[in-house]
Amino acid sequence: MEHFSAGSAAPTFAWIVARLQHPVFLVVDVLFLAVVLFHGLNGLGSVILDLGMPPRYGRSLSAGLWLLGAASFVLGLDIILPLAGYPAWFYW
Amino acid sequence: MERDRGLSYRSYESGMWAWILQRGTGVILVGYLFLHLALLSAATAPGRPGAALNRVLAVFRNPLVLYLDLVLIAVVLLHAFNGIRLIVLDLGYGFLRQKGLFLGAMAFSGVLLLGAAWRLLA
Repeated sequence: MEHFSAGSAAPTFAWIVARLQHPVFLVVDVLFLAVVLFHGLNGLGSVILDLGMPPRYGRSLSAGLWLLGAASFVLGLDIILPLAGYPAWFYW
Repeated sequence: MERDRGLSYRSYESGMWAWILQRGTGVILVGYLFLHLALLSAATAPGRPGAALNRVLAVFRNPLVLYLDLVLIAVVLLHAFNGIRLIVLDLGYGFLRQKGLFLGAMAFSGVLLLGAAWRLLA
């Protein structure tokens, strides 16, 4: 969607900041990040199980994926929130 | 069964290809998700706000990147409309017309992809 709204012009920092000023876009962005991480990592888990991982490691796999998802979500928030105008938590 | 490892659905009809397509596009999109997060982390670089991010985003002036972007849009459309087909099936409709639903989803993706190409590359 972002690539369309800007047409064939390259997106810029200013364009992103302007978009994130609208609360709707900010809420949608954060929710989308959470949902897509959950949906994607859930799918990855299914693929890993299908590739023949012994079921006794199921809990570790689930815990690992949740950890990966939570960490990615925090890092994603650290990207989105400063762009929307909230102070940054840390640099990486 | 050891023989069936990695291929839980083996019937070699269009339904199996639809399943492979959904899974394949899904894995690709997860990979793209982490790439996307890594690229956008340029927004957190210290220094003048947005300088690093603008440098990263400037890659979109390259026409090759625009074509890659179109490939990404194709992958998203295929996964999305195949997914909607699955939702429709789960709700109980179209059980006897699954192949038609799958082909319809692919055709709709193709149409939207042409629109995207026109918009992006014009």
